[in-house]
Amino acid sequence: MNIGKPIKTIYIKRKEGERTLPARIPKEEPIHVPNWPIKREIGVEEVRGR
Amino acid sequence: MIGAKVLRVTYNNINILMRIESPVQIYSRRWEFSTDNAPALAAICLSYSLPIHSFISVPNEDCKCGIYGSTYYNLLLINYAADIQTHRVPVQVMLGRLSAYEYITYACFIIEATGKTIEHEFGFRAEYAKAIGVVNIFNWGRPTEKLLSNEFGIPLIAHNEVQALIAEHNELRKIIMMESAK
Repeated sequence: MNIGKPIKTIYIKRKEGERTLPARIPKEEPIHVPNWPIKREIGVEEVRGR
Repeated sequence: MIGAKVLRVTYNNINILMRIESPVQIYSRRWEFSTDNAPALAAICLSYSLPIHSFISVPNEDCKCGIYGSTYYNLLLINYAADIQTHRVPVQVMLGRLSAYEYITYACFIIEATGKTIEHEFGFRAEYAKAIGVVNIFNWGRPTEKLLSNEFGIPLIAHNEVQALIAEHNELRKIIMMESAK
């Protein structure tokens, strides 16, 4: 949003007993790692053992 | 002090309003809707890369933080011309292997700023803000705005009256401040 250059700072009084939402920083969403299918590389020695 | 602000509105695929959020404000925290009885939103600074200032002094003169509002309605319309005219843009959301659809629109709100406020040429940055009205954009009478006004109990404001409303309110506030200073 283009609001131009700052002019001056003012303090506006708030109503008595007016509540505010607590400060909360947005979290990053966790990356989904699929549990299936299980990709497990079978080693050469393991195959020989069978 | 009051001004106008464009916010993103999200529906799910059964046409139920999900959330309202700020589209591009990186330096202020996420916008949450608040009605008359509800608490006002407090701004915190998220500019990690810029030199850190005190947490108490938000918005800061040397930073870009705060909740933004525009006092020039026409300028806001120019800046958000494309966003405002979008209607129900589908967005695919992946939930693991399942996928759902969300629909995005934009709505223009009238916000009231309190606490520390920095006045700019065409707008302001505020410490606390609260939505007090929805603008019936171009007097189209879209279902989005009607739904928002019903849902949150805030008045629908006609497109023609917005600029006058903002100007009147801000001038009145200035006069009251001048008289109280005497």
